[in-house]
Amino acid sequence: MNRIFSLSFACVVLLISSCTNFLEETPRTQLPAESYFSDPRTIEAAVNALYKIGPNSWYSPGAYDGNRHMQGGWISGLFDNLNYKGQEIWIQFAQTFTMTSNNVDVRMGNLFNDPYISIQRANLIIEILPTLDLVATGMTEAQRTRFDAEARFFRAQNYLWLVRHFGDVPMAIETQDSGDDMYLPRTDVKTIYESVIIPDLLKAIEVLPIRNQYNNSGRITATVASAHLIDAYVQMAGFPVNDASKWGLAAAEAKKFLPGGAYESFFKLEDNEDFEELSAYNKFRSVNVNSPSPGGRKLSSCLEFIYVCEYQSGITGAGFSNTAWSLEVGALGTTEAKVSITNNAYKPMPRRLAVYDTVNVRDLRMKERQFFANYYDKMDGSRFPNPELNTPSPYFFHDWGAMKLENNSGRHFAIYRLAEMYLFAAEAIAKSEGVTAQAVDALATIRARAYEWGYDEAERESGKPKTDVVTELSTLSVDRFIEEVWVERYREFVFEFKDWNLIQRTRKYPKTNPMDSSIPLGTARFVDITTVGTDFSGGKLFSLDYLLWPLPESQLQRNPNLVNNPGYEGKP
Amino acid sequence: MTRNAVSQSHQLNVQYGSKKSSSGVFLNYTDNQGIVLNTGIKLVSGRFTHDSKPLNWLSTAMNMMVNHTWQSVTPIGSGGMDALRSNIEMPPLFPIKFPDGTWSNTTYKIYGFEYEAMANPVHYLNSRTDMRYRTHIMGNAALTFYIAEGLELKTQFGMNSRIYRRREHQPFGIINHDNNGKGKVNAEESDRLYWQEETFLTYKKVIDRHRLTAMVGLSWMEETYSRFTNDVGNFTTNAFGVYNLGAGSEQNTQQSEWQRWAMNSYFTRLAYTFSDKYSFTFTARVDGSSKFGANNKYAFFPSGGVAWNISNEDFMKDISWIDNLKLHTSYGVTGNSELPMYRSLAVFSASTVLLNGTRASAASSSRMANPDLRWEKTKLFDIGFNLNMLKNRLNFDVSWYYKYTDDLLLEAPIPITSGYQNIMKNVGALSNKGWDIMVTGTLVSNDDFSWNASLNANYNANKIEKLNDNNADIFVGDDWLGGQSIVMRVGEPLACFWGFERLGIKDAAYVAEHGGRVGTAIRSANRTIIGRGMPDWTGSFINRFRYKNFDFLAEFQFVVGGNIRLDCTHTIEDRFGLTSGIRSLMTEAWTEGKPTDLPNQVQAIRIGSFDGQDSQLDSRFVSSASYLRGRHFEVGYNFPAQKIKFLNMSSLRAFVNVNNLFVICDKSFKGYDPEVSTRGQFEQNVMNYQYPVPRTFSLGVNVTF
Repeated sequence: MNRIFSLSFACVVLLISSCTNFLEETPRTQLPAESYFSDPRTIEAAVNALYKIGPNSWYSPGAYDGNRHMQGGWISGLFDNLNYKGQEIWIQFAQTFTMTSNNVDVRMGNLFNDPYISIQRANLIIEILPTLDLVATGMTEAQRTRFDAEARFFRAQNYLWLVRHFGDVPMAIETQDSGDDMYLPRTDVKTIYESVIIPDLLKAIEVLPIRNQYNNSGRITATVASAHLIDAYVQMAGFPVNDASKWGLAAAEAKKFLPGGAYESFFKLEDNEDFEELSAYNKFRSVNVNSPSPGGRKLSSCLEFIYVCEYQSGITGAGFSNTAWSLEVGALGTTEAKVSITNNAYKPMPRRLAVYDTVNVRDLRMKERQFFANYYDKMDGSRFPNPELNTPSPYFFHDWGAMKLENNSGRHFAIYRLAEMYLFAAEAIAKSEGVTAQAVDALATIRARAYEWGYDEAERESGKPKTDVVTELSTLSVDRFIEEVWVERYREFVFEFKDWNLIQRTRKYPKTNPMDSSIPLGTARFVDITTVGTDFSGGKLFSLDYLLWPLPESQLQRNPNLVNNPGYEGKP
Repeated sequence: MTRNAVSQSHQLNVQYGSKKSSSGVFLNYTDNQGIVLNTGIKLVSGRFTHDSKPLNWLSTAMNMMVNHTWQSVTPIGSGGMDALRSNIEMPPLFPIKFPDGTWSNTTYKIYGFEYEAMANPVHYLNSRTDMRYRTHIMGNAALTFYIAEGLELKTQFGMNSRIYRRREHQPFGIINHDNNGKGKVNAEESDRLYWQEETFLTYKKVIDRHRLTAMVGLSWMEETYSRFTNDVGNFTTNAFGVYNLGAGSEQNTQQSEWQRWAMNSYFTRLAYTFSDKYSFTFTARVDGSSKFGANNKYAFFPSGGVAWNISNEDFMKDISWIDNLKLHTSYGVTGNSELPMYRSLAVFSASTVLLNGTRASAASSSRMANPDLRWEKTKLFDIGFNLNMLKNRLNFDVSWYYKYTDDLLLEAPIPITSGYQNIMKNVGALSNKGWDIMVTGTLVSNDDFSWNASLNANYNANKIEKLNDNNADIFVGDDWLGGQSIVMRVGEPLACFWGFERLGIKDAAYVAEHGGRVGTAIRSANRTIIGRGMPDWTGSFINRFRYKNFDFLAEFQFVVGGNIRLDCTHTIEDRFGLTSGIRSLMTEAWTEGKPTDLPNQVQAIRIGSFDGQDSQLDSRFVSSASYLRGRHFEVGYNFPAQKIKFLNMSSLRAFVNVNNLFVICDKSFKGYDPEVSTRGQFEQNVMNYQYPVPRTFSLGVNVTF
């Protein structure tokens, strides 16, 4: 019996004494946060994670629901999602002015939440960098300042979009942990601009290299930050902050991009090599595409682009296929398209198209297959006409190689291009200095590029040389000149999701010929937004409340200190 | 697309033994064809058991099981244009193949319709393969030491290895499912290794009318899991199938992961019975799990129960029609550690982002640390009785329970300004109460004929008592049609469907006043709770009859209460025109002159993609979940022993049966079968497309030698 006892006892002792750290957890597929920031390579990886979240990721397309920058275009009534708004319901709520925190919770959640995820990642980097030992981590001081500046840039970019869409928002500038008070109240827009957006961008401009993004390994540069700073100043000068002193600052920053400015040598406006596939406008479409349209040319970069959201085909998940938005649903068969789902997701409405002067002046941008198309090519070279309802559709999104060959594209989508800096400069100079020759030249340069077309062709007498444009503009009052800048913005950036932001800061709506036949085609009368409705709003007029989105209900529930924007039913 | 499937199953069991040992060998081969083309599962399994008692103070037991399955599947309810979906949504105008032999698809324009791109389901099922291979090896060995009279020490060790391989081929040519015309192969391998060691000491003693059982023990268990996946795309030929990953030129989505969890427990159990009338049981466990915060790995779970066997009391002796009457009640605490691993730790997750035309490493913090993460505890109280009467011909087993779950483990929502959507936390509380009722009876019993019936019914009502600090709703499940789809809200049961209410249909007068389009739905302005996934009653009713050598079985299954959400209502009714739809469009769709104020009406038919389809997750998607199923009917014949003696058989039975003979359900339900597989812990009774449930006829014999 002794033998049995000792055997059993040995068994038990063996089991109890084995592996004292049996219940410890040591993940291998992730890294523990405590020791993460120990090497410049891992620190840079944490910075890299900021590049594709927030406003940049909102460019990524869905065939059905378009992208997240389109929401403003849809509520403005200037654009429609033709084929799939029946299932992508927040579009209809926007169009009919019936958004509530509840019924668009998910979509607004996307717009509200992503920036904060990015902001807190940036906060963590900004907080931790000064605490790191350079020797122990092997990081150089230059790396540390660059990481800090890039993180600050992204924090500013995310706040810029947050305040545009939501107005006053919680200002999270420190990381939090589970024991902290997480219920931040809203901070007014002006304070957020002054204490985060502007200082962070200034810091980025000071530290980061003055270069073209294409010559900086795709990373953020001082020029990218400048473009954001100009946008931020212009926004501050308009509603809701209305700080007119910012016009001067915006003008000074924007002049860096003009001829003679500090950034002049890094950028160049694209020119029209012809008025077909090699026009400036078609070049924007073909930056880093796989195969250009017949007659087109593939560009590896574009010196007009200041900041791009880059894509790359051949790398799974890195490609872009906004070509799906260039045609209506089911337009093409398998022999004609690799794209299974097409949808005219951002169809310009007649009132939007009427800003182009197709009667008195031939605007190249409105010419067939520049920004718009009425027909597409078949593989055999013959033409496939769009159905009437779909006409014209956005040729700007069309990517021949993606549509016909790969359904995937490396097309770079410009967030800011030089033309916009010219128009910012024209507006800001006019506001701060008057209609100076520099302001006129900036606007005329952009406008004349589109008017070259008719001018060069003798049989058409509708084009206009730049000198004529300059002459016309020079005589205008500041207010009239500014309106000419605005209408040019509508013509130049039709598919670059800039419209709503202009409406938000000016509170003016471009009233055009289809809305009032006394307004000539090709112009817009800028009217108080509260005096108009849309083709979708069922007679309802805009309210100023609609210029901001409702806060998502799910966030209102989580944070009792969060008060909803007016017009959206208060607390759910 | 579907077929009459033929399946077979063969089993061979051999058991033998001697005084000191016994062994068994069990073999099984099953081939189950699926009723959808090219789907099905094959299984080969072998099991060996051996028990022996080599010494008078020692016995051993071991068993080993090995099986392998080959399974061919087709996606179910994924939302993609898979075969189970295109089976319904492919317009029947299209042939399977065109006269020239090519497969049809919807991008061939017919009569001006503009359909969403889909391949026909026969093409899909014939060309695409998705194979799952599983090898399962399980073994167990135990030693029992008989230390003294009534005292034994048992230690057992078990291992369980699951090896899984998946090979999926999406050949090019299947529109909308072929990686944009490039073809794709997904390969996945994973293995899961689990072991457990358990040792316990048991003491049993009977002194007069006192019966005592005491046990103490401890256990250790661990599971490691690793997985590797590789997706390769862009092939020049479909001929390689899954057998040459190197031939694809898109080579960039490898992933691997590794996980481990472990548990360590100490437990004891005391049971005491006096005079076979009064029983007391007490158990206590200390369980430790690796998944919790550093200071909260272990938790204590006591429980106790009392039973009173009234029928053994002297005063019951004269009541002859009661055979057994027992009252029992218990109270205890149990724990739940079902949560993903590493949730108490703050970790950085790595991925890549596109930068300058290539992939650059990226990493970000995945979550906040929660060192306080601890066991979820459920307090359970139950009370009930067993009653056997009329010589055990009528038996009741009835109990009532109340469960209150504290420290509910949830992904608790936190303000996004923290940088995170949620944190795994012990925040919620949930209550469940209900009845478990079992009534069995022998209604007839004589030499030639007998009838046994048994009714089993369970009622449960649950309620969310508390969520996180501000009781913010928690949305679970996938978003559907641009909004959340399932809500957890304080005061409501789990798994409530979240959507709009369909109040009526817009007619010309309505449109003139409010805008919109004639024939589309009028809905509530906001989303609200439009149904609940949890049923009230579930149960079965089983009847066994015997007549001479024949036996009959009739088994019914029922569910009462709750709702089903059929997500494909979106495409088959509301968004009709982009795809085909179902009959309700013809029979129920609103037309001019029909009433406009009835809830949940079918919207007017709108053909074509420009005709103003309007689809939102609303109450039209929701139907009653109640049903009655004729689950199993069987007739058997037992050959009389003397007639099969010459075959050396001790028994021979032949049978024929039918499974799933009928289902009666609410007519608002538009799917195939109202029994819905559960998607997640908090997500029930949601379906999109289903794999059709077969009605199965079987013939068979059981032979014993």
